[in-house]
Amino acid sequence: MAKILDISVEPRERSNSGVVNRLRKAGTIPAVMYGRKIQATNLQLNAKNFSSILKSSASDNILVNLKVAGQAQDQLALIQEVQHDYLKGGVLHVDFHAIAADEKIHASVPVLLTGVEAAEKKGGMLEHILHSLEVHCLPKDLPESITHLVSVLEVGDALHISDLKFPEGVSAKLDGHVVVAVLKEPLVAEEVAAPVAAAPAKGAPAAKAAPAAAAAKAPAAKAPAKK
Amino acid sequence: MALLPKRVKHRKTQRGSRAGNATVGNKVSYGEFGLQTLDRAWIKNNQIEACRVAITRHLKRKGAVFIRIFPHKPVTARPPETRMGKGKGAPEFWVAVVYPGTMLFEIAGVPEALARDACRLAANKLGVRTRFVSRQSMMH
Repeated sequence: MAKILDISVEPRERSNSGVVNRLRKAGTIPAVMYGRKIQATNLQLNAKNFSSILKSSASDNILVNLKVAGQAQDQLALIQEVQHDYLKGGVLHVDFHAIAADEKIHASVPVLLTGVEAAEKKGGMLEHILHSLEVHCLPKDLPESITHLVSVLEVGDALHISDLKFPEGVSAKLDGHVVVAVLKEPLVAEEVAAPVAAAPAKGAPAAKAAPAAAAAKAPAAKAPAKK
Repeated sequence: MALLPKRVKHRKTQRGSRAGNATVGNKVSYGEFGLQTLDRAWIKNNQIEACRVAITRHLKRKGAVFIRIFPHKPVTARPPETRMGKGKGAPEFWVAVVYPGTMLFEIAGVPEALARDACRLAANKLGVRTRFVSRQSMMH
């Protein structure tokens, strides 16, 4: 089960872009809290503290206990969305979804695969297709990540959602037949081997030798004649 | 094989605007590592192909390479020593319009050091400033 982290936030009165940009420059992240039973509230929080929380977690969708300044009660919330600045780095905005502890939620959980090296030693290449998975569960059951050992896969095998082991009370939103990862055969192994076979013949063009072993023999035979 | 659209609605287009930063196609979505541009530019189809070749050869056909940009835009040119007038030139090549932040290529299934080196070789084929990013580094 994922840990519930405490975050201190303050109400934010103004929401126009100029004010929000000034807040960001001052090291504060604008945020909003909304939910089915509460009115949407504009908030702001410390950027440094929030970044350290994100760095220590496996994904952006985490459960937090919001300590809103001026409010006596804490509010349980799920981080619904974090807007990142993909060019300069840093967080632009955070959405907190206020939830009740006894109501099921939808959240995106990262899928982590272990034993990748052992699987790839069998001669395949693991293609991780589904990096995160939407799950449906009570807040107390929300896992930090879903981990699966892939070293048991053989070349050509696929890992489906139905193969993943979910904690009790957690179910995936997608169907069980959706592929999470595939241990594929490498694309073309011969192309790498061909220049090695043609290597003794110096001066033979490597690019011509590449397509196949048969093609590699021809320039190799011609090379001594050039000398 | 040249990278170009199969069919277009209009053979010739205007130059368009290149203002702003990338708002889509700016994350590592398919692979583990990526090459992100920091400049705005028109990247030609032969530059994209050169990058692809550089990456796949360096990876020795291991891993998976994802090309995140496509040259949708035709660029026309006038023949040399042509007098003014006589209309717009013929389509000469195709370009992908990239903005700061656009993810150009992604790589999966290889160690970081190998992917970093492959991206360095690919970046040398382009006339834009780029940086190597990973899925993890983009998140925080």
